[in-house]
Amino acid sequence: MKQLEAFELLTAFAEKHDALIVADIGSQSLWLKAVKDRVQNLYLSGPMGQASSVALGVAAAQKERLVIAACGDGALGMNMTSLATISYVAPKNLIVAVMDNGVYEFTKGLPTPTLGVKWAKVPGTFPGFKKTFAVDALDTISDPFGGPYFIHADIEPGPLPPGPGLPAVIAHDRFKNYLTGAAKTTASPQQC
Amino acid sequence: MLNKILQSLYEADIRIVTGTPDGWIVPLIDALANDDRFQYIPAAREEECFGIASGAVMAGKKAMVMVQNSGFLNSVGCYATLCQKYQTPFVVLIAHRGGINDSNSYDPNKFRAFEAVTHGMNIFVHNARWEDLPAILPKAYARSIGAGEPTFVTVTEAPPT
Repeated sequence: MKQLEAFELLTAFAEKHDALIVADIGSQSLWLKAVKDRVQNLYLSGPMGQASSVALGVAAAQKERLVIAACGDGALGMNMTSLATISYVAPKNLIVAVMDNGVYEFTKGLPTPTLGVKWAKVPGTFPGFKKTFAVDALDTISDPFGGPYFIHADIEPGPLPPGPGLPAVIAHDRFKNYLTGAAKTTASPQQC
Repeated sequence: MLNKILQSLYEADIRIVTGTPDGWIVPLIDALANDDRFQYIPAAREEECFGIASGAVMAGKKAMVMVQNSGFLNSVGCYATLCQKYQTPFVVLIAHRGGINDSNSYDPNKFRAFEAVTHGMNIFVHNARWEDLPAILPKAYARSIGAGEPTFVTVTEAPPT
């Protein structure tokens, strides 16, 4: 499966449940945006591997919303401890998805150290996770708010996604304003 | 004093707190974790805390991080590329180990490195006494909103018993 196809499946699932998606830097943010630039998407263009942690914060703040973390396998490998934290906290409204192509796509396709990791066994290793689903079996999730769940997308390495991404502060403000209806709350111009 | 800190956080609408343990802040962690008004999220690694707090504030809630100074040092990349780049406002309460009140042999290097890194990054840091935190923490949050960045508050000793 191509990464674009995996994000088409993930986006369709998210639209069905009006879910929020937090995507890692690089391929995940850009492929997600390429499929459909939803205001419910939060693109992380700076930190490597923080999608799962940021998504946990979003899930804690928006308990009535389903939240999906879209992680690269290399990125999640850099923040593997977040799986322990999520397992311990066990938010029912959080789903962690790993887009597993075995390479750092933006770094000349070097192999990721997570190559060969048995992602399907995440729930057994991190017991707060209820179950792993394949990305092409999302329709079998009967109770999306019964998580946390883990999604494994077995994808092939491919071309880099189209850009550009959304600037960071705009991504922040758009996401927050969608959720709160509030005016800009990040740094404001100095008053004269 | 702990009750005053919790009441201050509650009145400032800071309800999501995440952190990793440090001996000096354990009493505050325990108090928050056992108070239903707050969500305390114990993170396995400090870097996660900066992601969790950033997610919470970008989703419209107020948040605070509590870590040891070495925990911030573990998180500098995340801080620069997420918190600074996305301008995520929240309070960071730091147990600033290794100073004049700390005789542990393993802490002085943390003190020096934290001082060097925060000075080098031109990060605003306010040192406070525990008894002043009820007044300081809401101000720190207000400053974080105005500045569009986290506000660091350090304590350099154990809380009074």
